[in-house]
Formats: sequence, C-alpha cells, structure tokens
Amino acid sequence: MIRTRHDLTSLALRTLIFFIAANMIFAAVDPMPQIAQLTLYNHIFPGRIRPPFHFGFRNQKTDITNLDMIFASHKIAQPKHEDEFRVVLIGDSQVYGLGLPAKDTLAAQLNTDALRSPDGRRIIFYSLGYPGQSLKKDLLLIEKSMQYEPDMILWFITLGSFPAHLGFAQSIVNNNSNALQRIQQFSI
Amino acid sequence: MSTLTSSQWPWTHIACASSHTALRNSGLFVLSIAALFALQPKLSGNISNFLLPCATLFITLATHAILRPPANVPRWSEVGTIIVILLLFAVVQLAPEIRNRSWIFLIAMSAGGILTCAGIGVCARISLRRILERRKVFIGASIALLITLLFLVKDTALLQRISAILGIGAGTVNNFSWLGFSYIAFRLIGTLRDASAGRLPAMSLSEFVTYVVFAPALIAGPIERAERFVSDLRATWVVNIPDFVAGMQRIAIGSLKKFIFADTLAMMALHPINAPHVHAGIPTWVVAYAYALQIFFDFAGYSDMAIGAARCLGIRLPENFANPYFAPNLTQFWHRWHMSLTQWIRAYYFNPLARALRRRELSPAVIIATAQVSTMLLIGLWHGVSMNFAVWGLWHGIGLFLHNRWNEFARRRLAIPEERLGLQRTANIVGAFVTFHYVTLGWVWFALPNPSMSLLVFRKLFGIG
Repeated sequence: MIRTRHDLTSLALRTLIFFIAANMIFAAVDPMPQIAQLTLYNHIFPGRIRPPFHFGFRNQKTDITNLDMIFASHKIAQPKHEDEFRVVLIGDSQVYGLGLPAKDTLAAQLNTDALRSPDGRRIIFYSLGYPGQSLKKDLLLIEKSMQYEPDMILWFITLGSFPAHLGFAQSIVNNNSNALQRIQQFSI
Repeated sequence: MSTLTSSQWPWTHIACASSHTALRNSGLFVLSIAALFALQPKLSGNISNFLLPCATLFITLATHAILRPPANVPRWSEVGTIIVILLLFAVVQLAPEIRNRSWIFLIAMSAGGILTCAGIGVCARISLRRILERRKVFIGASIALLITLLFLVKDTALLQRISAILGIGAGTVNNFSWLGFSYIAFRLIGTLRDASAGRLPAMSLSEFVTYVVFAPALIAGPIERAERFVSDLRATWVVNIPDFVAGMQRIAIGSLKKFIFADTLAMMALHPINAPHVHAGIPTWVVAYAYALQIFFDFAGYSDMAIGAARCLGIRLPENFANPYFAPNLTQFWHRWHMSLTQWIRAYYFNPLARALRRRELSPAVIIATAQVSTMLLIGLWHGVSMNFAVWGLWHGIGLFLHNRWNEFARRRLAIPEERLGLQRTANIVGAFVTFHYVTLGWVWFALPNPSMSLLVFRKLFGIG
C-alpha cells in the first residue's frame, strides 16, 4: 500500500526498471515472427481471401503490412490437400479487386468454375494481389508465397510496375525491407 | 431545504487561497463545462458539435431554475463563467464555419450569440418557481419532456426520418451521438423526482452544473445521487497522497481493463461484421464469450477510470460493478452489473411501479412479472430504441421473473440446510455457470443490430441448420 512519497518514488522507480527490462528482453528475443503467426483467421473465422488493405479509410495506418501476419491470416495458410492444385495470383489492384466485394474478385470468379488440372486435382486460386504497381512489392509476395507450396504462380504485370514509385505499396515494401534485401542479394 | 453554505462560486475564496475545497470546486465547475464541449463526438458539421453541448447546458440551467428556492439566486460570477466558456468554444468551434460567410450572416450570428448569453443569464437568474405556482405539474412535465427527448435521441430511425423531412443534418444522424445525454437525463430526472419528494438539497448553480455534467462521469457514468455528490463537494478537501495514489491506481486498473483486455478482446468479440462469417460450433461460443468479457472490461474499465479520477479530486463516486459474472443467479447479477443504473431504475421506476401495482390487489406473480419485465424493457430501450435492445430487455425481464418463481419454489421444497456448506458451494458454482451463460446468450441480442442476425448466431451456437 502506498502511503508516503517514498513509496510513490519507489513505485515509479520499479515501474521504470520493469519497463526498461521488458523492452530489452523483447529486443533480445525478438518474438515478432512467432507473434505474427497468432491469428483468429483459419481458426475462429475463415481465412482472408485477399491481403488486408483499407482504401480510403481513416485508419489506413493500421493496415497490416507484416508479411508473416498477412500470410498467417490468409486462406493460403490452411493445409494443402492432396487433391489440390494451388495457384497463386500476384498483381496490383486489379488482381486484388479494389472496390469489389470479395465474391467478385478474379480469384473468387475463377474458383466458381471449379476447374480441374489434367491429372484430376482441384484447381484452387488464391488472391495475393495488393494495390499498387511495384515490382518490389510483387517480389516480396511471390517469395513469401513459395512457403505455401504453390503449383503455379500467375503474375499479372505491366511496364507500370517498373518505376521506383511505390504508391499504395509503399508501406508494405518499407516495412519488409529485410526480406527485400534478402531477395536483392539472391538476385545478384 | 437547507441553506447554502460553502462552495458557491467563490472568486473571493480563491483570492484568499485558503480553501483547497473552493479551488477544487471552481476547477471542477469549469472543467466539467469545458469537457462537455471538448469531448462531444464530432458530427459532420461544426455547428452541431457546438449546439449539442449548448443544449445540454440549457436543459441543465432550466432544470436548476425550476428546482431552486427563490432565495437561491445564482451569482453573476457563476453565470459569467458559463458564458465565457461558451463564447470561448463558440470562437474555436465555429471559426471554420464563419470564414467565408457574409457580413449579414456574421451580424445575425453575433446577435444570436448575444441573445443566447442573455437567455442563459435570465434563465439562471430568474426563478421559474415564482412564475409557476403549480410546481408538481411542471416537474412532471419536465420529466416527461426529458424522457421524450431521451427516447428521441436513442431512436436513430426516427431521427433519420425527421432530418429527411426537415432537410437538415444529412449524414449526421447515422452516427448521432449526444455526449453523455443518457446519463445527464437520468441525473436531471433524479433531481426532479428528489425535489418533488423533498429530498433534494439546495444546490448553487455551480454545484448543480458540476453534478449534472461532472467530467469524469460524463461519458459512461456512474450515476450518482445528487444528495451524496453534494455532500462530498461540500466536505473539506485536502490534497493527500494516499487518496491520490488510490485514485491513480484505480485509473491504472481501469486503463488495463479498457485498453488491454477490452480492446484486445474486441478483435474477436461478436460483431455485426464477423457474425455471418464465424465458423459454427465452438468458434461461435468463443466470439460470444469474448463479447461477454469485452463489454464487461470495457464498461468496468471506464467506470474504474471515472471513480479513480473522481477520487483524486476528493469525490467518491458509487461502484458500478462487483464481479457480476460470478453472480449465482440472475437477480444477483443485476445487483452487481451497472449498479448505479439499476439502483436508479429501482428507486425511480421499479419500486414506485411495484407499490402502485400492489395497491390494485393483483397477484404477486403478476406484479413481479409486470414490474420486472417492464423495468428490463426500459433498461433495454435506454441503450437504444431498436428491436435488438428491446428483445435483450425482454430476455432479462423474463429471466428475472423465472428466477423469482424458481426461487419461491426452491425455498419451499429444495432448501439446502445451512450446515451443508459443500452443497451450497456447489449450488452457487452451478448457478454462476448457468447465469453466466444466460447473460452471454443475452448479449447475442444486444450485440447485433437485428434479431434475424442474432437468430443466425444462435443456430451456429447450437449447431442447428
């Protein structure tokens, strides 16, 4: 129980020490990759059918741009069935379906056709399109999607993706600079 | 009615710098009015952001004018302070509106401002009781007016229709939010009822305004009784560390509940957006439990912060929650959940209604059913005039009635002997489990905007269809 100024100072000091220690432990352990895997999607709720992106909303800054988080909450994180032929769609706002309801996106429309591969597997399309024309952004998503055993990647790209201007893709590229450096080193 | 003693608007007391209490009370008066304007949620137009707090102030001043004894005339310093704050916020909030307006508009607006200030002055200085001899009738009419206004404000559909007819406020009524009016209206109704029963102490204008729009309790209560609040306000206050620290601890606990627990749970709690998509079975139970906990931590967190902030200032607000989810039955739950509201409703609605019904010599079951169901329906509609809140109110009203009947039956035939503590404890645990689940299922009606969506969630919960 705090009754005197001494008690109050002591509490403030202990709080400060705890705050510093907690931050140092967090920095040393870096649990972000593990934390990024924590998601309600694919467990409580169905997986996302496209990456989270809030166009024009005031809380745009709260968009999830951590690649681990994006993929963990995406439908693609569900286990791949043996009879599944997994196709990943990469591209800009057209592939994402900006302004369209989820059922009208390219991937959703292709999935309604219930296509099958020549060997009889069900072809399932996954939308990993993200608004913004950017090679860097597309490469980040392609590289990450490789962890989810795609059988085919369809990359929708035009010359518009080559300029350095990032547009909508700015935050996702800037917040995954380590992954981008890895890709760039690999390409050299 | 007692005569005024201290804490009237006292510049002279401040000048003496001898009274912490006077300084605190003056600060609370100014802070509470300023908070009314500063915390008003932003609507689409700056004028409505300014007019709604003005309306709150006007209603408060008018109520005070009705209630105060003729001799208890507010000081000009009190009235002046209100006008200065009002003008200050008028300049800040209306400046963007007047930038490109004509001189005629500005002159008209200035004239309107002067008239408003004069109106506040007159309203505050005259005593309507002198004019109105039939005080009880006037008090009754004021209560009816406040209740009508409260229901009007809570009925978004009606507001939309009115705004469409009048062609005003386009786009604002969907998110119409009049800061703290639910609580302010209840405080005002309480003072009017207390006054008619002769229980209301004489209050200076600053005391009355501070009570009605008390900044820490403005957004989410608790609803304090005027008598107790004023006694705290008038008691000598000395700044002391233990009280201040206890208040700060309460604020910290409240922040933890609200910003860590509630806001985290909100990500998975039942919501109109996630309800149609959540997987059936256990996942739906998870989101329902999450909502039950989220709404508790959110509301209890706000209450803790309000109680803590008030305690730092030497005011003891009533407790609002007492481990409601551990209540062994629904009646106990409503003694522990939003206690200040249920006590208010009990004092001003349930008890008078039950007494009136008893005089008609109805059977006890009919009296209890009528009183409990209508009380809970009222509490439901207080949250908003819509079908989902009405059904939620009925859910709890029927639950309370059923518990009451079960209690009568069990007392006669299933009474557990006092010495069998283990059995009593088991009965309490089972009771708490059943009560928690009944309340959680009730939240399904509360959380979703229409009963059809709630029924969909019920089907998912029980794996039907």
